[in-house]
Amino acid sequence: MAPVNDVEVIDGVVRRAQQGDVEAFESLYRTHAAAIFALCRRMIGNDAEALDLVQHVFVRAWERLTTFRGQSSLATWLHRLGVNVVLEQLRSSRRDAFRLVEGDDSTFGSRSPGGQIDARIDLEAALAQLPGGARTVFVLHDIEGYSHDEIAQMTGIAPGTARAQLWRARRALMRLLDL
Amino acid sequence: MRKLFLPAAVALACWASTVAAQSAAADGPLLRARHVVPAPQVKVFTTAGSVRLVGWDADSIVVRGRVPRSEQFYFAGNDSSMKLGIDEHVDNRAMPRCDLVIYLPRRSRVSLKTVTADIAARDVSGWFYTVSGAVRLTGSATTIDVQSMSGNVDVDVTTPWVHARTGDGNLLVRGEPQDVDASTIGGTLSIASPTILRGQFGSVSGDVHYAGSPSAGAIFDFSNHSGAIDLLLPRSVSGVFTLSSIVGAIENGFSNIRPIASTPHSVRLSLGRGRAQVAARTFKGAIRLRPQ
Amino acid sequence: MIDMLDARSHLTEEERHAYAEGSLPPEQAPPAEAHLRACAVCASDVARIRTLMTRVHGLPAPVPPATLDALWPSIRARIEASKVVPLPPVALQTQARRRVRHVGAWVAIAAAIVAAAGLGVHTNWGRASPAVAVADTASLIAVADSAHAYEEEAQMLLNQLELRRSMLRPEAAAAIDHDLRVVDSAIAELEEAIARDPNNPALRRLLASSYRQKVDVLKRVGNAS
Repeated sequence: MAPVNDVEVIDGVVRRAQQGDVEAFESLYRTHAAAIFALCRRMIGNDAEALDLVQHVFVRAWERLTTFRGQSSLATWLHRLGVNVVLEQLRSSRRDAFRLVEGDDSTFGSRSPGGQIDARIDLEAALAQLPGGARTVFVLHDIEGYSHDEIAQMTGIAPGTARAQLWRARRALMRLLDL
Repeated sequence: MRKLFLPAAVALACWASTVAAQSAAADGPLLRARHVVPAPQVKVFTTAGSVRLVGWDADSIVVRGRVPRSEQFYFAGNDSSMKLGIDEHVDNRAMPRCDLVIYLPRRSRVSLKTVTADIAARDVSGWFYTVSGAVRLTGSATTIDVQSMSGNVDVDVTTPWVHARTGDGNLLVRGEPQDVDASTIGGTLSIASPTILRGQFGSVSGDVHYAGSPSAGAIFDFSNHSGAIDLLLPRSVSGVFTLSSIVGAIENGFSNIRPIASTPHSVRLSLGRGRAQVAARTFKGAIRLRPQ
Repeated sequence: MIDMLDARSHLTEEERHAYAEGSLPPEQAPPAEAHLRACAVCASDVARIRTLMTRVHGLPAPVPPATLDALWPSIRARIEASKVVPLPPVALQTQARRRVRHVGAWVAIAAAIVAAAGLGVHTNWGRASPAVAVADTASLIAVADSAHAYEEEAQMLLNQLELRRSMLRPEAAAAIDHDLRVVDSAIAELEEAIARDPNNPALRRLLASSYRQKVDVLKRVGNAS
């Protein structure tokens, strides 16, 4: 089934999906899956988990679709739902990677003793190297465009803490990228 | 007498001024002073060193202290709500010692947070938090809420209400509080106050010690998991004591008093006229009722 | 603060980032600009931040793997499975009620008798009379629900702890972890004891107390960052 792009048709498709039409929901999936994947990929840092999370997001979307009232675009609604699903996954997985690396923060991303860093490192790779908390705030603010207050609401951390995390992430990226 | 009084008064004023000057010198250079309302809201933050708060009757706040040049003292807000302290480094690197002394109105509502800095407060009410600093609170207050992760806490305050928590730190409650909710995780909890009317005391693995006589009408609840509950009471104590443990030993030092009820894991005892109600329960910690 | 600056002092970390992203309050922008014209250190740093942000804004979206399209069948399968009619609410057992399943049968009887007799909570000091046993049942359920409520709150706070862990100072994180280990050890012992003696209200009161301690520790997390 081809993705849907016309506004009026989107409303109709959403309505049908809300009424339980799985084919209509598949249309919505085809339209929005790539954007949701991009969000999950940046927040979680790897393809495999991102794909898994895409599934979770759309299953959750199906379950909650009746709560979508059209006050925002569906893309925005899905995006916010996707952020919450990823944050829940980050909270529940308790991976060591989500914790700040051991030791002095200033050693993170610093140059190797020889003074050389890998010139091939690019932004995506650098982003994947950030600790989970800092990456989350950086992605949500600098890439996805959420405000500090919105990030604070979503993550449960104070806006001031979110700002500090963001600066920390930027500094780390700048070191990794040799800016 | 008048001829002697005036020089004496002058001498006294000079002495008082000298003492004040010496005290001020001991407190360190003046960092900030401003007029405030009688009950301002004051937030204080510092990481390492010490912070001492003194409630006074003046309508101003005076901050003195010793702050290394590498550190930034901040003071912001207005006369009814302000925050002050030492700026934290964004990268959380170790902070050098900073010592602050803050004089503020007694009716101030304080929120104070440190990392390793010790806290001392006299005649001040509010919320006090530290990760590992030592805390000592004295004087009079309207409410005391103090929390420490691993630092020791000493509450010696006349106040209607105390809420105190430590993790590994030891907690001592004395003075004249009325309503006390105090607990530790592993630290020792010691209570020695004759004025407590409502007491909730607990620990998980630390011992809990109570010494004194619950006043008439007092209701105490002691709870512990593996730590002991040790009640050291005068022979003249008056109260109904309900002691129970799942697998811990119960030692009744008032053996000349016949219990109201007794099972292998519980004892109920009425001492004196039974005016206070004291319950103590553990999972496996020992419970000891001992006469002084 | 910016008004007081001259070339001998610098913009704060917050000001540099805010200026680079264009979020500095309007009244602060001109003095900041004047400072940046005079201070090579700050100007260089702000330029570096802007370079990063430019690269970020130009970042193309991650290319989804071909397997993204292939996800739909498994999503559809999960959606179809979720179309099964849910059980009516009364059949949905909470975890607390599963734990007190031994006394679950008493609930309806106990509620009626307790309501009629107006009995309060009473400690069982010996062989219980039927009325006391019924009151103990109500008490048992009450403390079980209390423990479960604390347990749920503890889990929610634990999730928040994991999210905030990266913001905790190392000494605070170590203290919290240590305290949690102590409390969790106590909780484990109590749950084991309850499994052997599920009708013991004293055990459940102790469990509720331990969970309360855990919630207290976790609430201090917010203060520790």
